[in-house]
Amino acid sequence: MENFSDWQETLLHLPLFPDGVVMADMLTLPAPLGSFLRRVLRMRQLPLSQLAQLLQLSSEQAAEIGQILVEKGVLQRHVTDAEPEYKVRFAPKSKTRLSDQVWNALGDL
Amino acid sequence: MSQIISVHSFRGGTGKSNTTANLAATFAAQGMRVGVVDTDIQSPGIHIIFGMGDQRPPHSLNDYLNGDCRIEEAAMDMTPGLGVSLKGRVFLIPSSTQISQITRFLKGYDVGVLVDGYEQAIKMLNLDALLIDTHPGLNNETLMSVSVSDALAVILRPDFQDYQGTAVIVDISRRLGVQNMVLVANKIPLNLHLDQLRTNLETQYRCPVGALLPHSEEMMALGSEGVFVLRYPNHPISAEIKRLAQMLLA
Repeated sequence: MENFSDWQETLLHLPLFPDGVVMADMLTLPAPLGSFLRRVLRMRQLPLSQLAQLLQLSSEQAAEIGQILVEKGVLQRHVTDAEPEYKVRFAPKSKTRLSDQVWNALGDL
Repeated sequence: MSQIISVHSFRGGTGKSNTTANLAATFAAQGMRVGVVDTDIQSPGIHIIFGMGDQRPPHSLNDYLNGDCRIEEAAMDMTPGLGVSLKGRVFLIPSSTQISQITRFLKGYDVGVLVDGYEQAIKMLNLDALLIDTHPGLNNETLMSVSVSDALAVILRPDFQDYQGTAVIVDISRRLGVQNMVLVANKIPLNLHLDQLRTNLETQYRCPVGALLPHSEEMMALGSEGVFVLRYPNHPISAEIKRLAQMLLA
């Protein structure tokens, strides 16, 4: 997907990730976005210029897409002296289905 | 450029930790500075192979993930205790064996912190390669480690439960964009024909085989109390590990 409006259209339907994403999300998100996020993850943290390269958009357009992804909770942006840098925003911990009683028992060990 | 290499399997008991330790020693024998991270927090074990026994490390990966130390502070230089002179170094970042620390992480942990730690360890310890000994199966933390790896060794035994699970791992790893993935068949019964097994695995998984490791009495006798390639440098298994090491760095 190389078109700015295509990216906007895709992100319009992207749900919010208030806690960040988990790896399963990376595998189940729609193909262009999932693939994009996996590449960002492999590059760990990338400046706006590289984000633009990856999205095949201008810097201004990439900044706009980056902003939407930050607002959706998928990316985090770090402001640096040079240009902003982006990385995947991960949910801090896996969710658990174990009851509090079990965790309390484990805590006693 | 530094390489991150994960060693993973779908099921437990396949020999991930032994393979990881042997790869680390092989790389170090070639003069590389190698880090090993035991991310199998639920069932840590690789520290035994490196000779730590019951020794409690001053810091562990758990302390780093808790924010109690920097990752390089959790690294221990295992090279002097390996019993042979190596041109390179092996640093181990162990997981804690304390029950309270293990249970604390059963809920999972911040995978973003873990990945930051990989980068930090490579930088601060000046590593040529970082080996990740994973927890078996599919979970958030392991998938993350696989995602950021330059190379992945998938270990399996010639066992039908392993065959099916390995297909899942290979498929997901491809979807995660792992560029260099190799299979390692371990604990192969001596009556199996190795060339045939290699052909079958490569055909079924469309993935190169990095090593075929037959069942070995010497390995069993060692019982994880040492690094096999250092004890038996001229054994055919050590030659296979060297071949695997080359493929993972390719």
